Amino acid sequence: MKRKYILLLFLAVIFFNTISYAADINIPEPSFYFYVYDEANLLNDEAEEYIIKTNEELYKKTGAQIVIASLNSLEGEDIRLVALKIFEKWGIGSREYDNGLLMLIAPNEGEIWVEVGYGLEGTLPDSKVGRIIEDSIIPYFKEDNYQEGIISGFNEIIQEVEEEYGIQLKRENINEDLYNIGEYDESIGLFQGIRVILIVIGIIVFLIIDFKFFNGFLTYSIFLRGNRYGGSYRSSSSGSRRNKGGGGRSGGGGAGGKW
Amino acid sequence: MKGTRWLIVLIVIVIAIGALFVGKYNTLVEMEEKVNSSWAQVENQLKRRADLIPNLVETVKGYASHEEEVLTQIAEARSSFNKANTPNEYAEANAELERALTNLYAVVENYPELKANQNFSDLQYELAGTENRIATERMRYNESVEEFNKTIRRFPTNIIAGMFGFESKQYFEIDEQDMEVPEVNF
Repeated sequence: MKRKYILLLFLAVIFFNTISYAADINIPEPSFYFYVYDEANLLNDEAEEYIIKTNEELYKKTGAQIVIASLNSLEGEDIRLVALKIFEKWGIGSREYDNGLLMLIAPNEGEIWVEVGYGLEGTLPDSKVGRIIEDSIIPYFKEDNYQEGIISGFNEIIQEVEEEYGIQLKRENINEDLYNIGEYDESIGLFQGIRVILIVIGIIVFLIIDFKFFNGFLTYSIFLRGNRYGGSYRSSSSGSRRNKGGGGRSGGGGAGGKW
Repeated sequence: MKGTRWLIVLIVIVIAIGALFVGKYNTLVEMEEKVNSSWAQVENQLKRRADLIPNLVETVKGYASHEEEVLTQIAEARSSFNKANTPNEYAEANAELERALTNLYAVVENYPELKANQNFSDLQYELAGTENRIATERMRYNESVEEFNKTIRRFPTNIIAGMFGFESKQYFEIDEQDMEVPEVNF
């Protein structure tokens, strides 16, 4: 009987350690090439290629990312909130400089919102973004010429970003490692140590319980499975150049418009 | 032999629970820090808007100087904003300011020249963007407060929270009691 109580206590400890919070509203996964997510099909291949190529170079040199996304429906949500959530989930721009930007277009609702990452707020203040939308994007959208509007707005934004980083770009060898998807630099301290201790203790307790009650059946089966699948990692096919967000954040800055 | 083995198990479990308590305490410290830093962001954005307002008032005055009522309302809202200290007070001052701005925008509709003014339209974009920033940082602040408050009330963290004096945080929202109960002076 006592053994059962101890097992229960053990389970309770695990349970209290792993309570998680509810999931958020539905936000799409980023596309394979990351820089264009064209659900509403507003761009042709050539335009997408242009945006992706330009971004790849920009990211290499500055860590900045300018993402274009279109959605078929906002599902009744505020476009600004949707843009914020997408930005949060995709992590646009480098983590160090938060220099990302998201242009979100909902053609069926006739709304656009440009969300500017914290690091680009100085380069692209709300009024400047507002004017770009008003003068370079909306006039095209009004004539259902989405592609031209997007490209024209994209170019205006790129130009501002280029100017901002113009002086820095002369420093040829900008450390690319800075902008890679590195690990979070979590503070390694007591907390981390305790994690390790907890895991070790957990394993010991697991082993004791397993060998006590199941004659080590669980342990053996884990080892057997590990052997069967171990070492057979799928070799990543060469030539795939999937892009990812750098982990940048935004805080609701930017501007929007309707047509 | 059997006795010692169970003693070891017991010791291990006691250590595990002890370690868990230290871990939870550290989590609480981290979460409280997150609440504080999110609040700083809210305050930043509120100040940013307050800083934009004198500029806006000046621009409007150039075209609609006789709309004194609206302009005074804004000045008053701004001064009560400056006096705010707690999240609740800030939220109330903020609501007052928002009402005043809505009135201002309504008035502006009567002045097409003002609306066409480049400076004014820039300010409007900045204000709209700042309002969205406030909404964003407020949402993040409230989320961090919710998470923190939930955690310090949940078992077993509530024991640690009680031991070390962690107290629940105020949301950034208007206290409805404050709004409804009229002040009575005898």
